[in-house]
Amino acid sequence: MRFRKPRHKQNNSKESRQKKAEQILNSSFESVKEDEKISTTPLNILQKRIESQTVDNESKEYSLMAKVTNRFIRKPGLSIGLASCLCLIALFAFLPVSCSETTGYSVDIVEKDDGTVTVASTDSDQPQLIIEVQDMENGTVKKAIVDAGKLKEGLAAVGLGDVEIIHDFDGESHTFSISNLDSEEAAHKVALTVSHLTGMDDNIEINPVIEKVRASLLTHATDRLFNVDINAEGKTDEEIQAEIVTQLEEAGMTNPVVSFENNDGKMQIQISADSEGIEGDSTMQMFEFKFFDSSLEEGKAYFKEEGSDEFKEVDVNNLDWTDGDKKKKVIIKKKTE
Amino acid sequence: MEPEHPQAERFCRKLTGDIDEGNDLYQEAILAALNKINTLRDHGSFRSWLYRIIINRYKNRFRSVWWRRHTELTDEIRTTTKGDDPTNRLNARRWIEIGFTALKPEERVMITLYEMESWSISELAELFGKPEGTVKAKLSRGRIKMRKTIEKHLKLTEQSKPKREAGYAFSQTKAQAE
Repeated sequence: MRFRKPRHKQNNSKESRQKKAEQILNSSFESVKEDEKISTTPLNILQKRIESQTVDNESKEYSLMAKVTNRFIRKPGLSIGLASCLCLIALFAFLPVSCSETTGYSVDIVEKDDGTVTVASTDSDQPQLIIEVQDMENGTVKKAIVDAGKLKEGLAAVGLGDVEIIHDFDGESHTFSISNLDSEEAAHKVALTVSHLTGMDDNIEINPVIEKVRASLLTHATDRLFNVDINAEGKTDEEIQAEIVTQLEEAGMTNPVVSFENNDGKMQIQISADSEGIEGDSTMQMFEFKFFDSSLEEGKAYFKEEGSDEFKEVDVNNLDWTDGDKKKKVIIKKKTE
Repeated sequence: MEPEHPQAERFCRKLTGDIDEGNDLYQEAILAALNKINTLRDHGSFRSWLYRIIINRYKNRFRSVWWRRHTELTDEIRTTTKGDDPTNRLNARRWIEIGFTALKPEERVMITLYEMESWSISELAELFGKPEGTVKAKLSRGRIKMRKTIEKHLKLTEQSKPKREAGYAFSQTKAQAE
């Protein structure tokens, strides 16, 4: 069993400790103040020491490398900080991290639960796509048979030779997938071709192929940037406008519309694009860049939200562009020679 | 340089709490001062100029050897002192070192100059370029911090002492009797 000291005794011990500490402090200061016994270094010895140290330092710092090394040895904190920064940069640049990313698109021809669209195949090795669409109100049935080989030929004719046609039957329903499509634009082309060949479009779906990609943070970051480098020297406004559109399209932006105005030496670029979001949520987003002719550094960007007429100012170097389910940054740079 | 030399060297030793380390600091500061001697415009203010260099060097050392802040006492003091008597020089140093662990480098410098080197408030205010009131407040705060640290140390020492010595002695005599 432990007994506590009564409160008045506790206070007493605290006070006495306080007093003792004060006394110790005062006496210690006094004692050290009076301490003049240890002799000081004679000036001539100090001078010699300093001279030899100077010579040492000069020889040590003879080379630039030695200079740098000496700095780091003298300041271990700096070396630790620098090493940590290098580690962070290395992690950022090389350490692979998983991230869900749209790696391509597929066009799927699917059956519908209500039975209005039926998809079938005759052979899994050489699939022959058979689509039946029932019009319930009129009681009519449209049937289309497309040979996979012919479909491939048709797609090759529009410049899509590398597509894969996969037929899958899970015991209940058939699915046809045309995959290995790089961009949404290619997927639209395929969907259009299939629709043209079959004469039906109710059952054609464009789906992004989302995969977990392992890459460094740096790669992930750069993948999400639209970089537009414009060399405006000796080009007309129309030529610059066309170049921006080309570069944005090459970067994967869907249907970019660029309007270009030059008012009193100030350029105004307005970029808009269809942002077909998830589940058909089609919104138009506007970016307006205003900058002086000579430099983009003074540029300002304005962002217009959906359903709003007002342009809000945003940081020109930090724009989020919603492209499908991805967020991308738009950076427009102007090259000056 | 000559009139300032003994005091400045002693100040370095008191500040670092170690003769060798103090000498090193002083030598380093003198070397820096010789390199910067061209920047000294008013020769009348040589003293405060030299002390400022010493203080800056001390702060740099304090930063660069940051792990030393975690070692409470210097080897010299740790190995040679025991007991609470502050009149003994090394004991006094030990208590000051204990108190110093709670202070920032600038506070240590102020306390050293004021309490151990007998600088006046106005001299300190001139050296640090601060109003006298601020210097007074800093000194007072520094002292309080030191006192509280010493108090804590005393408390720990009290707690670590064997309790109920009388009871222990009684049980021993009882055992012997049995």
